Amino acid sequence: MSILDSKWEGLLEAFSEGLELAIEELKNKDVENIPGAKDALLDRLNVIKIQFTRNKGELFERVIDNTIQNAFFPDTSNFAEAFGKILKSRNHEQDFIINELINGFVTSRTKAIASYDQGPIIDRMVEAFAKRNDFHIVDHQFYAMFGDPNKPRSHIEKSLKELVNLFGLVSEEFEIDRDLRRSEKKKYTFYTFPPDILKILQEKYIIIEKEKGIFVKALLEMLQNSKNAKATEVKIEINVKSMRFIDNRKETKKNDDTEKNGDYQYEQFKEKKLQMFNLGKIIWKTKNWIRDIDTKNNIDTLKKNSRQIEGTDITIIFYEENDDILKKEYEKSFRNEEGKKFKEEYLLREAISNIEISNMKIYINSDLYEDIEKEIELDLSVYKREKNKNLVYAHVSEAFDRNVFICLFLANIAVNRNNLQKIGGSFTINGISAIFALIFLLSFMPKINVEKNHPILKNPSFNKQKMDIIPKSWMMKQVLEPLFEPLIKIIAYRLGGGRWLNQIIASEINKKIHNQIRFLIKDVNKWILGNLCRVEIPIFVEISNIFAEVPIDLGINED
Amino acid sequence: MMSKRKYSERGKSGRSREKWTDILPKYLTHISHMQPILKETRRIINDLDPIIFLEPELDILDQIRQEEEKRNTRTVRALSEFSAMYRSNIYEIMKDFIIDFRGKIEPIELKDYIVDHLYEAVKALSILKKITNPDQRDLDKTFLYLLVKYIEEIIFPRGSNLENIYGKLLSNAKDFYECQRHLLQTHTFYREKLRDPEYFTIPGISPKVYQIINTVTSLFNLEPNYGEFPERSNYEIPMLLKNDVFEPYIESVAHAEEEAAENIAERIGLRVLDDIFLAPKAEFVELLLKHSFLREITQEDGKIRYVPQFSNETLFLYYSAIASLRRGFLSKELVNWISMNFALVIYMGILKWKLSDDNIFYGIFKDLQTNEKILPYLMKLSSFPNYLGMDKMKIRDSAQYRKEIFNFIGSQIDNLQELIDEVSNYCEKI
Repeated sequence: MSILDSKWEGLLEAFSEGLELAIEELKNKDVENIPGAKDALLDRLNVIKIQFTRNKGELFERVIDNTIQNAFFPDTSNFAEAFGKILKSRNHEQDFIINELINGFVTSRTKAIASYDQGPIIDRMVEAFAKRNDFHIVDHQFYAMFGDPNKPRSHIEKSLKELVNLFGLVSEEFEIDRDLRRSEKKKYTFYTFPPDILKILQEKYIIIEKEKGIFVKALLEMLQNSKNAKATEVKIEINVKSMRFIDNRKETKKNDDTEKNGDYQYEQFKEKKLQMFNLGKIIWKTKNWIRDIDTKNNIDTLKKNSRQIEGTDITIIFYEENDDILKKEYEKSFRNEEGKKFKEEYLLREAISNIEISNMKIYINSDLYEDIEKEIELDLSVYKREKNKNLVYAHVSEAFDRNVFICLFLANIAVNRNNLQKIGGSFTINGISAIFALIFLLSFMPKINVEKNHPILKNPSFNKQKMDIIPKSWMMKQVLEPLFEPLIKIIAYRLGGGRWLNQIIASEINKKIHNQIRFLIKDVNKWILGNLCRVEIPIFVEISNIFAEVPIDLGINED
Repeated sequence: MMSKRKYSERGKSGRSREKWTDILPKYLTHISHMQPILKETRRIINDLDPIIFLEPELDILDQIRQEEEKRNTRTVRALSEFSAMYRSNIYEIMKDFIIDFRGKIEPIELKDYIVDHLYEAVKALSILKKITNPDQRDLDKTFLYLLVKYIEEIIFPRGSNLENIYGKLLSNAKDFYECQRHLLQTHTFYREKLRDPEYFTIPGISPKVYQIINTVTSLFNLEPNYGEFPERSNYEIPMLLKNDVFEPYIESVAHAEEEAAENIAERIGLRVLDDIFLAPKAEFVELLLKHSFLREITQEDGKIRYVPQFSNETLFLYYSAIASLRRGFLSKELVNWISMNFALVIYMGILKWKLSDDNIFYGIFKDLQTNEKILPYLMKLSSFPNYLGMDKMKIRDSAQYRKEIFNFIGSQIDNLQELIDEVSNYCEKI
């Protein structure tokens, strides 16, 4: 038997002894006011004693490793994965548990990471993020929102830095040569969530709006113009060096004026600017006019065409330096994997996918464009786009609240569980383990049936669908104390191995922490008229289901 | 240190001006700048040919905005800056909306939407504008009065005595207990002197005190001791050992701790008996009996024992009730917090009532720059004697305090949203 095994065995044994003690104490005392409650609890404790010490505590592994950790304290070194799991287990009631996990640290004195005056800081974060429309906080804005005129700037700077570390935010610096107010050089630092976290938040908590690149925008504008002019067919020939855009647009009503006043159309045509002008040399033919434009060389001439054409015919010869721009834009659209076609065409397709083309036929290099991929790259990495200069707009949705940050905070502790210093040492470890021990015990409490005319059933705060009455005697000091400590040790051991276990020493301070935590999770473990009620939230149901499966499993094995 | 004192002195000198007729104009200032902007925008959009919405960059809207800005004749710089900011926000939102939807719906419909939404926004502002009047005439018909009273009745009711208030709180606890609780759990944090020997001050409930209340409730339900009821012979009331409750939270007990523990106990209706026990006060016992949180059991020796059967809210609502009854003695932090909650619920309730859920201008109303122009004054207005009747002098006026609003808005809870919905339904009725 290895040392680890023997340690684990020792813990199981201690738990078993604790249970026995608790059962003894329970037998001697009766605080229940519902008949049968005490017996139900005694039965349950006996079953726990038998089942949980079997097979080297296999059930413990299932309950703690698979269920509790999965929901609130994922065992992974991947921050984003941990965060995703915690976030997933959120619902109204489980939010209370997540909140209590934080409160658990608050009570564990100031040494813990989230001390009381940091509480509001979480609220600050929510507001600072909600305020901007790109899901960033900027240092100067943060100072402006939360700085205290009575305290030096360094105070708030420090506080922001702490936050950034606490939540593992990523930063990016942005320097401007002359700011508006003083025309001085100024450096701004933007903070945002790590890209993987953003990806998780994207579904529900932040809404991403994509801004199009200049090439796509320019293309979109041309297409929009054709559409507005009621063109039914657009032919586009595109390659790396040039593009030709032909449509069969109908003449607009201005046509009559043109005939009357030859200059009018000239003016109209001349004034009209396309974004595409910036991207290449352009020959624009419409009706009997030809316009040559070369923005780079300041050329914009207009001459009569001897041949009248229908619709519009625009030829663009791209400037060479555009290649870089297009390349970047192309990379941002993350279509590299398709490989075969050249980037201009992809961008063109992207532009087209942004426009309603119900009664317009578009040919790209003689192929009819088919509208197949409407969902344009939702899986793109926000952060990567961000790096390429503000291409994405993101804002928070209604669902975004302080619990998102609390989840982030928990995830941070979960992945750094081996770094005791970072997570706040003994206080945090005792706090977390004790709350999980409570969740564990609470899940296994048997439901009690009461008579139909019991006053609790008439109480407005008792919700028959969502709540069950459970025995209250397990919360008695005499019962809980012998149970609690070995259980906390088991949980600490499963969560953080020997390192965590060593922190659960029977010191006075730890005892105090355990005593404080004894009556936590009050919102899902409610008192109603002196009866203890459990709100049946997913985590409790999930854990107790494991237990319900066991007898059947065992039965099969024995057969 | 010097600068700090100066600061507070300056704060004090401003206090003499805090009259209804001073605050109301301040409240109205920004609203009366916002409304015309929305109105004129509505007129302009109404006159526009929707076909211009198809123009790629919508430059026309920018031009209109610049034109409008030129007409600005306001001389106060802060106000003209605010107006410019407000106007540009409106135009930005319209532009975004048009760009987003022009491929999907007809331009004429786009226009209709924008005009409708502007119309709603104007309506909401006109309600906010006539929420009350300068001389508080027909007080009981003003929105401010009705709304404050409505919300007050649910989460912070008034009453002639504790019993009355407690009853009201309890009857609303089913749906709004989380709000009632939230109202006392300040998330803002000021370092303030609570132990003023001359006054009895009621602070907000910190996470630790919350846990202590939690512990007391549980211990009473689990394993109380029983002792003689001092005010009534032949009766026994439940008692807890003071140490059992406070020990986990106190490192070593000295005079200050004793006092703090007693103060906390007093606010949840308990008293210290024989120096070591915590037991409900006589009047609280009556209250508990009335709401069946105590049950009578006749002992074999003929003595009648009151057995506790508390609910989660039993003690907490007593704290609420006492805070409500003695609202003149609330701590600075709590006054700010409570009035902030009221102001927000009123504001959001009116918005919810007047604006449809998909109104594109919702964002402007929820924008912090708008919030900080309206909420602080609404807080003060709702603290006046006829309304919440709290000490409005305690409401902070500094830039720092305004920042606390940001913290506050970040700490909203789901249940508060339900209250806001409830308030908007109520608005519908009045």
